[in-house]
Amino acid sequence: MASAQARRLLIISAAIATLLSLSIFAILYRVHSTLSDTSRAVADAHRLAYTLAPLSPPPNPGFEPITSPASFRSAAALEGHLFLAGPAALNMYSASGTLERSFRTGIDLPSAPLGPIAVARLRTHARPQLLIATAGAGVLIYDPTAQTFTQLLPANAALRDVTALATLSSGELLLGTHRSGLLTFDGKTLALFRTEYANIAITALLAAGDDVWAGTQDHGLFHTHAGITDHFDTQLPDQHIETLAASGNRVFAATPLGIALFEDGRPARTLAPGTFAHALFADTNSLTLSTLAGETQALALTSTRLHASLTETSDPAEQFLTLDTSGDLYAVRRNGLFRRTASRWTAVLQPTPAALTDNNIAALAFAPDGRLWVGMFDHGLDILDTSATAPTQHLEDDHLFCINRIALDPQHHTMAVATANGLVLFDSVGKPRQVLTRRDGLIADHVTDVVYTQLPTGDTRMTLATPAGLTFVDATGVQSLYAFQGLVNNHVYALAASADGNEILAGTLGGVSLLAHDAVQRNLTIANSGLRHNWITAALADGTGYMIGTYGAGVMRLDRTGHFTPMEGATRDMVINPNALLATPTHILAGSLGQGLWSYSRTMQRWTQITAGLPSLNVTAFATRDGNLYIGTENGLVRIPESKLPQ
Amino acid sequence: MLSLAVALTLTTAAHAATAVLIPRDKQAPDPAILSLEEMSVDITIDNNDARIFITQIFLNHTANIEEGTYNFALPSGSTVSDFAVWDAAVRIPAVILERKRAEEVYAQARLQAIDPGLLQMGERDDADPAHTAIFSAKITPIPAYGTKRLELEYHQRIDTTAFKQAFILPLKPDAAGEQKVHKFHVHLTLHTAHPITNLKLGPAYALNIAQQDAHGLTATFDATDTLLADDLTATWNLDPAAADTLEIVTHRDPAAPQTNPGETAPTPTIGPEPGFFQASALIGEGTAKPATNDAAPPRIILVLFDNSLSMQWEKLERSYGAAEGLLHKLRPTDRFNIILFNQDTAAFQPTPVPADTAHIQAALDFIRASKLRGGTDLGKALAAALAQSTEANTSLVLLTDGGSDRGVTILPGKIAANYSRAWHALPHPPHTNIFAVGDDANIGLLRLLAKNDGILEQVRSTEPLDFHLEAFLAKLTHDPVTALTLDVTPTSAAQFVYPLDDTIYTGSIASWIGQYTKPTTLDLTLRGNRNNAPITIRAKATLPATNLDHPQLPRLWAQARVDALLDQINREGESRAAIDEIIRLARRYKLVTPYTSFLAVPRSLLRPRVIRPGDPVLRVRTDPAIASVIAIFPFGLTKPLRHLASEDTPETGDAGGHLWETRFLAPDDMKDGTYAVRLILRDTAGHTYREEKTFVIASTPPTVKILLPANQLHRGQSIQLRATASASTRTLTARLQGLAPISLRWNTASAANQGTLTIPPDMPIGTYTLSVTAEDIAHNLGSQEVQINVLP
Repeated sequence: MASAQARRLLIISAAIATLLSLSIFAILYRVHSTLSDTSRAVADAHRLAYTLAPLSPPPNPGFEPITSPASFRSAAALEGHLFLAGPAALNMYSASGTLERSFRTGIDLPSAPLGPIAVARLRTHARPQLLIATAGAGVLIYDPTAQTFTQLLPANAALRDVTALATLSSGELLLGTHRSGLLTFDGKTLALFRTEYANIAITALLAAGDDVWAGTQDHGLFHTHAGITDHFDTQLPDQHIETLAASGNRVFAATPLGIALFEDGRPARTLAPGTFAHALFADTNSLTLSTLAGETQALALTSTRLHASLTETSDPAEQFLTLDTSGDLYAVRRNGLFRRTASRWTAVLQPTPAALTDNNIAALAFAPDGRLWVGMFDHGLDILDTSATAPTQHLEDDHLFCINRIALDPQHHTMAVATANGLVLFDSVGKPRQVLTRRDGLIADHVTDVVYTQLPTGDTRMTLATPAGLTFVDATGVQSLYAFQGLVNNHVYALAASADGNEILAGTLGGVSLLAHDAVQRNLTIANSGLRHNWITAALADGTGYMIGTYGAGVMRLDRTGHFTPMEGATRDMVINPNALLATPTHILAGSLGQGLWSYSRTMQRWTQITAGLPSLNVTAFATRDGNLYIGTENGLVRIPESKLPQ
Repeated sequence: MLSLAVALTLTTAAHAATAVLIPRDKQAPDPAILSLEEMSVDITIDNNDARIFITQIFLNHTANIEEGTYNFALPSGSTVSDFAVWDAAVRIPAVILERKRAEEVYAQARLQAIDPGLLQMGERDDADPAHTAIFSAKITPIPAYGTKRLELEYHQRIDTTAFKQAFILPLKPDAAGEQKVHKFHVHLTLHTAHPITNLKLGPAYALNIAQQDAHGLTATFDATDTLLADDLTATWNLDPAAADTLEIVTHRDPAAPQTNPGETAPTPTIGPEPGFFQASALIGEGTAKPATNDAAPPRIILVLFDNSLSMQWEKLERSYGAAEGLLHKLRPTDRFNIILFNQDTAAFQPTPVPADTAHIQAALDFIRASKLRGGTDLGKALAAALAQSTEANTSLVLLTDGGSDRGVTILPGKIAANYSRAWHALPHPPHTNIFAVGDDANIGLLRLLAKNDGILEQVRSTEPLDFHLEAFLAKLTHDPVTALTLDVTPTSAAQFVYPLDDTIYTGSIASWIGQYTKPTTLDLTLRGNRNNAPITIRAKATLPATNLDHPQLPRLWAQARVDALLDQINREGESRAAIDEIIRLARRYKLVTPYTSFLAVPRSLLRPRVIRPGDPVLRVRTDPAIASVIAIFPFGLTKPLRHLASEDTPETGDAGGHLWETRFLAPDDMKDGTYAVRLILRDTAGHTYREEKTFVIASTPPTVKILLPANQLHRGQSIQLRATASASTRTLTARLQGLAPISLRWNTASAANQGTLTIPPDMPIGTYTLSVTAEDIAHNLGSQEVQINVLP
């Protein structure tokens, strides 16, 4: 009896235990299933669309670069070759320093400035490759064996602006982006690295094993390790991280106010307080740094004081690195690659001389002697013999700096250069003779455009556009007007004179003013005309009317009656760059912001967008002579026979 | 890339809000960070002097040590006499130092990474002229969850026009900014020697009157959670029945003077001060009353309108507004002419023309169509005006900032002397009336010019034009009391007696201030010529051995003495003795002069001095010790600035130092708004400073929406014109043909910008265009027009 009861109890207990086990299993299964679903959903949510394909740039329609400085920013060594990259090109050198190949942006590579480069073996490849970050074209991957490029191109354009690269020990690639956080690519999947990094502007990356350090524009420093992410901000001298370096258990983060030292992942102290380092290199005993002012100094890691044992006053180093087994330290500067031997820096590689002194072009014009005047966005002026028979003349001073416009005085055959610091007048042999500023009666120092007209007396009058109104300069003196006198807006960016010289069109931030006899005759805005955008960036007289470039509505034509006509094909949401319009007998050319060159064929009455062959899609200036068009961009200057444009 | 229309401005340019502490990185007060917990205002109006002592306690609501910028918009005619910050239990007062010494101290402090606020006279900040009218100081540190106590004291002259006096405490915020105070206390004491009538306290703050009599009142206001949406105002009339009497007040402290517990200036001095007296006479209409405006003989008005480059922006608009207001006040029987001047002159007509509607409109169009030229030859302009002054009853009206850098002489003293000589040589010398515009107006020169039988009125950028223009125009229609003197006998009993007013009209107060060394009795005699009849007022005054009332008199006298010495320097050039005395008086009585600076003690990191408005060019002016400047832009660009050595000036302060520049492109997807650029400055000693400035992406002009209650208005009808505008709007002006422009100001109650539009009773019936124009801080313009019908 007792044993029957015991058996019954045992059976019941076993049944209960089985039921409990089944229930627990079911619960665990459901939990696991739910977690798996959630993980997949999270992973899916972080997965980003992209293409990974061999790079096949469209054929160059015939653009020929005018060489500009290499401006090296980064270097790497791979399979016996040395690679140096600048915004306009990737140069491949032999071990002996011979230039083997140059891959030019816009021609051999996409029209996007190149950023830092690195050598890494990705998970999907057996051999190391060269990785090249670009500002707008994702990551380029160079296979030295096949001598081919592959492009990793995120579908979202915001993810294509890559600022930093690093690889984990697993072979995963980390991509720091300009404004969209930190991405990871394992060969198959492109995803946000971790949610903590979403929408952060990454400035520097460092991967040590599986530890990831990421410097940001203004959110301090992130450190991901063992599945967790630490965020350092108030512990740093400043929230901006310029660059990172590591040695052993130490990580160094350069900020504008000093270098934060981390030991074993924890903030330890600030080195070189007050120093804004741009490039760092750390070894066991010392930290080498270069400031933006060009000082290169070494810091003994046992001291918080800088030892000024090494001091350079040349270009600042963009990167420090070791390239071979010798352990020698190299510095990448814009003007070459340098090696530290003993306590001196010696040049190892220097780029071939360039025709231009800078690559950010803001204005172009031909002088009567056939030389091309090239105004730089934040530098001075190059006067270039396009036949390359004479060296380029470079002019730069406190006024000839930040060029906006170069104009030819058709009567006196002299040049005027409008800058952010006044108007510089040259004589007929190209020597600066006079600077006009506010002290001389200009309504503002910043001159954005110049147009010449002829007065009934036969004298020449200059009309200057400024952000504060218009200034007229003629034999009677200097006088100005602005909104007080009826100008539609004070900010004038573009000028054009009618063919007969009797009318001046002033393109402003708030519409168009038409002036005659020194007075505003008519104001045209989106409220009272067919103008589609009030902000006028460029203008030129064409036939009996004008062509108008706008900030956001492409190009429009304005006829003598004040009627605007859209230029179909070039009127979508396109930004025309300041003064980036040119009319030739067969074409109208418009330089856009990020959308390349737009060419209008007068014969076909059709616009064509041209991107291939340009070093940048930001087209800023034009000039023409002898059938050749010169096209300035923010990343270099190219020329093309006009006959090669779509007719 | 957004390559254009990036305007850079100093943080405080957008909001001239008053008595506010703006947290760093902010453009307006943010009570979530720094709230105003207590504000106590003690106002003592003693005859024509108002002393305002403000105590404010701000609370930091964050866990961080905060810093902020304290701004106070000073009314015209006012001078800061003290400022102090409390650091826990320690009161840190401001000090007056000789300018050179102040600059040395400033430079020394800067090397220690601190920045004493430096207030100097005559600085010209081309970033925003409003800055010179705003007392501004960086306040740091403000402890986490702690408080910061600030004290500000200033004195203001109370003007009298047509027997009316008014006092305004500027509390109303500019634009749409506003400030709330948790505990608000106001104590107002008003006392005048002359009996007053029709005393009105503004409705915004319901003051409780504790005591009131014929000579003043005492009132208080206490409230919690008060929105400072309006100015605190008081207006009153002086009883004409008490006119033509001399009232004398005195102050003498025979011992080493002790500061009144509530009076933080003047500071204690080593030796005993002399005694001071002030004699004031309210000038009545007299028996020979002037003709009313309608019955007065026709006048000839010669308007000298300065359209040189220095008048660009607000000064030109204000001058135009003044010209418009003046011309519309003329009767058709009057005649006028407009003479534009810069380095040249251009007359509207060869000779004055009748002030009919057609001529007035043509004259205004003439001004509007004129173009600006660089350089100003004021002497040439004055000569052109005198050449047209050929008849009696002619008035010259000069609308200018008083700058003159061309011509026979640029020395103010010589310009004034030359003019005075030519003026006296005329058979019918005109009244020389001056409406000075701008904070940087050359008041010294203009005051000398106005001594030629004229008046001087100044409007600063922080003040509405209307009030000053009204006062100016009211005086224009009257003849001043001429040949006004005060004789004191025995003459040895009083020293250094100075008039406090340049020009006196009937209905206003003429005041003199003087020193005395021994107690005595004085006979005072005022003489003058009123409405072509002599006026004589006599009084006997006892100068006591001790009288601690009227503590403002020493400082008032010192200011008058300094003004006299500055006039002397203007006329005769600098002398060591004059400069030494100015410095001594300024240090003793806390006066800001061309030779002394007010070193406010609140400290901050070094700030770059000037960031000019303009397109994507960043300009920074720094002290000469700065060796490098690097800008960190919010969109990921880090750029060193270029040192423009040719633009360097040796001075420190806003006007001088080293100029740095770079150019940048903001991404095209940056929305319109205010952004911060961070600057890393490094000096020759290796010290690094971090500073932040804001820039404004202003790619679209401001938008305006007129809120008109009706578009059919009757002649004589007044309506409240309201308009809304974009947040970036700085000024909002309504214009209706034939009327003076109307400034619309923010009104919290109606949540719109508001102004009064009055249709003149004689306006012809018809359809008119009413336009309201908004101007933002980048000088972008936006406007809206509506049609209105004027009915009988």
